[in-house]
Amino acid sequence: MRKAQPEADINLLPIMNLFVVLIPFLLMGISFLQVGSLDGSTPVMAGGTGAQKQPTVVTVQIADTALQIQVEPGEEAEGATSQTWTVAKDDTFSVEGALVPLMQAEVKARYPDANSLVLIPQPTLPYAQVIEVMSGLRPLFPQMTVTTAAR
Amino acid sequence: MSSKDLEWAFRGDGRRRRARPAPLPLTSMMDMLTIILIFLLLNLRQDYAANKVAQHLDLPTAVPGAEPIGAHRISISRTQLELDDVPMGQVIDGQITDDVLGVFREVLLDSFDEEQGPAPVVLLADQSLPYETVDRVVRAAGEAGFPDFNFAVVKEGG
Repeated sequence: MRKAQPEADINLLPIMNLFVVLIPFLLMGISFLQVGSLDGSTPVMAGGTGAQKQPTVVTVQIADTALQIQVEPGEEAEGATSQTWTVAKDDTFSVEGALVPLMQAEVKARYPDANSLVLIPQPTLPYAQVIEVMSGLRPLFPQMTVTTAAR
Repeated sequence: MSSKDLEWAFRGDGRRRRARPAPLPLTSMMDMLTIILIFLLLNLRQDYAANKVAQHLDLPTAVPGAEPIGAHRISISRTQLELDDVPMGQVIDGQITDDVLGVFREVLLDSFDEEQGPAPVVLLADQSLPYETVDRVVRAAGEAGFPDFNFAVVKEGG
């Protein structure tokens, strides 16, 4: 009669050693902050060919107390004239609550082809406020140029 | 601990035996470490800007579009301007001097690859800095041939 073999335990120590080395190594490479990005550009001088149509230009000036939105209609919007709106930055102001609905109702509804936006923040504004406006308007205007007013 | 060990420990035959060292319960530790390892592997990302966010730098919060990946990494903290982790100069009271910007522009210009053309750069800037400071760096980078930016932000709720 064959004797029953005793149960052999798996030697877990080498695996444990490996794990203990791997975990601190991975902890150094992990990111606990979820970081993404918003794309934008700075204006550059470009040589025009002269054959391109003038597109609709939407400009948003961000100041301490108000935002001014200006639309210069392009050649495709024949007969349209430039328009300006002002949004006061009072206590109830928020980009999602005030600026985005206005841009959708007034600008995007009239100029659906307008995809580019020029942001002109006041130089003294905190960077976070500029990013807040960029973040809110980026779904409506994917091409964003950020600059400051000429001084 | 195996059932054999338990059986041995509670044997009631009256005879005293020399105590055997109880083995460590490695199975439960293995379970725990395996879970931690999988979690860490899933969250590990290569070339991820957040891995290297500098001290004195609080990124603004927003709904982001893409991963912050670019040819260079410009970091403007409350104390220092860095290009690809190399300090370019100090930021004092939220301002950068013209000398520091000049050095930054030169280094960036030297790295411009004409064959590759302009590539976007990742910009990590502290949310409390005045926009003027960020704009001066952005303009300097634009002059050096890098006009496109990925403004790094912390994901809302992230």
